Amino acid sequence: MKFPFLDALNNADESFIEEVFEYEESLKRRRRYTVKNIIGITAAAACAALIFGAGIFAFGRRGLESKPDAGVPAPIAPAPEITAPETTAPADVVEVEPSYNDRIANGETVTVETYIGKRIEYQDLAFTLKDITISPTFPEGITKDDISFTPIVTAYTDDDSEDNILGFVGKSYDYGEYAAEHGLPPIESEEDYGWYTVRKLAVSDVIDDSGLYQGPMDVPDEAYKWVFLELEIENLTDGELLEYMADMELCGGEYVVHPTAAAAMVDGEPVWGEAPYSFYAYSTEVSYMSEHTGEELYDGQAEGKKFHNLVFAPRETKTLVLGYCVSDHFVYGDLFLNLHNSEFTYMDDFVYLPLK
Amino acid sequence: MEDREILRLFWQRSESALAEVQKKYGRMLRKIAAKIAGSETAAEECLNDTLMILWQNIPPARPENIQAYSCKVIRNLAFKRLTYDLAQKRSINASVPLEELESAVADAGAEYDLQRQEVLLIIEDLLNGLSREARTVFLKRYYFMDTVPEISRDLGISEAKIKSILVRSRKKLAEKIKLKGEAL
Repeated sequence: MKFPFLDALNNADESFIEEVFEYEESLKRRRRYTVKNIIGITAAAACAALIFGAGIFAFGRRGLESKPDAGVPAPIAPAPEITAPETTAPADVVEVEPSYNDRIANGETVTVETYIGKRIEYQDLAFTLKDITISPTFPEGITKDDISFTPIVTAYTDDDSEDNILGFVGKSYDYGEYAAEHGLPPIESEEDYGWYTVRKLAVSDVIDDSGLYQGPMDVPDEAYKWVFLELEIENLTDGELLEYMADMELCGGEYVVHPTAAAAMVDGEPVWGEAPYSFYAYSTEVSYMSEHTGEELYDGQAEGKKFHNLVFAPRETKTLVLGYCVSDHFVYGDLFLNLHNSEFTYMDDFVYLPLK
Repeated sequence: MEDREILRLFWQRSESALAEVQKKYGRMLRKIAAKIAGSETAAEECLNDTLMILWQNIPPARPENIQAYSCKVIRNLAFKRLTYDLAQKRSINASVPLEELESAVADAGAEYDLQRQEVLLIIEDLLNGLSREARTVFLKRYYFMDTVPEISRDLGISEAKIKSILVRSRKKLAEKIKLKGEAL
């Protein structure tokens, strides 16, 4: 079967080739676009997510004002002025429906989709979605010793059986217990959210000298796994949003796992309750490979569900710890943990405002 | 000049049609040929042959997209040149991408003896099932023989993501081939 693909590709329908040219052209046009959206924004929390170059901003006023003081962050100071990219024809400016502001005023979270390079402005806050990619190997200067693993609330499971409670270094928590220990706001009903587990991984167990995760880890395949990278981001300015997309090559480099969750730490402490930013963790696609066999256990896009990886730069630090979660549960998860105020939002509550 | 105007020149048997094609697409076509055939000289010869073929085929051919049509022609010519003249010292640039596909198939244990038409259908099925972005990445790599950094630059997406897309696409391809092979 020598070079069979050569012939097949040569004889593939020309429309595929035409599409390549059209797509490249459309990308060039899109990069020149600037969209200004006026949307509701909380005084205490703003989130951004990206889907392969697109971004989702979620703004809402829910939660914090009604929650106990523990975990309530300080108000966000106005961000510095950021120069907007070049603008284009008015057709690329999307009007935000007035109903969005009403919904936000009523405590709902509204999500707006945007793209890298687009500028979002609302009241005192202005930012442009950036694009920073974390390569599969660690950036220059970052070594295994720079990596820290920190416990963090990882995931939601709808099965509270003992088998699914993974625990924290051997210990299990329900969310209430974890919240109490870490000063997080309690949730109203555990039945709505199930169990939450905290995972901790030892660096030496999972990262080899090349900096690549090797595994297997001492957890069941269905477990949620986290790998953290601690990175120093240069020239990080206050209010600057970062996108990260990280495809890690695991166990020999032939399978790829998309990170399905992100979190940030400030000086080693969880960001929630301590920084005026929130994180929503999603994944556009999840492939979950068995570390033992390399067999692909799950690969799919959750139709109608959008998952985005994101990180929001803490204002006071240039150090981010990004968590990678390998999981096949998240794809069907309907809940997204707001690591800032521990709010849980059902995906149906998100509204996507297309910008094209 | 728009393609439809160039096409009109072909149908009017005006040699300026060739000049227009060369002016509009010459650079791209040379680049494709150079990557496959392995040298600028070979690429230039392929381009000349491409123009000749366009002149011979149009009319009666009436391609809707001269760019895509020309790509196909020069690609075929370049690979023929690669196989015939440079078989012993094959262009590294050309063989690596296709070897990626073959390796993926071999690794999946899907090396079945399929007819060309069957492979074509599988490729088209794969392409139809990919997202637009993934399809573009796949074709830029395996049709246009672009390197990952080139694709990253052209599409404005990270190399890591491109690699991810290619890995996934190759796996899907291997799976399709395997399914087809097992069904035979």
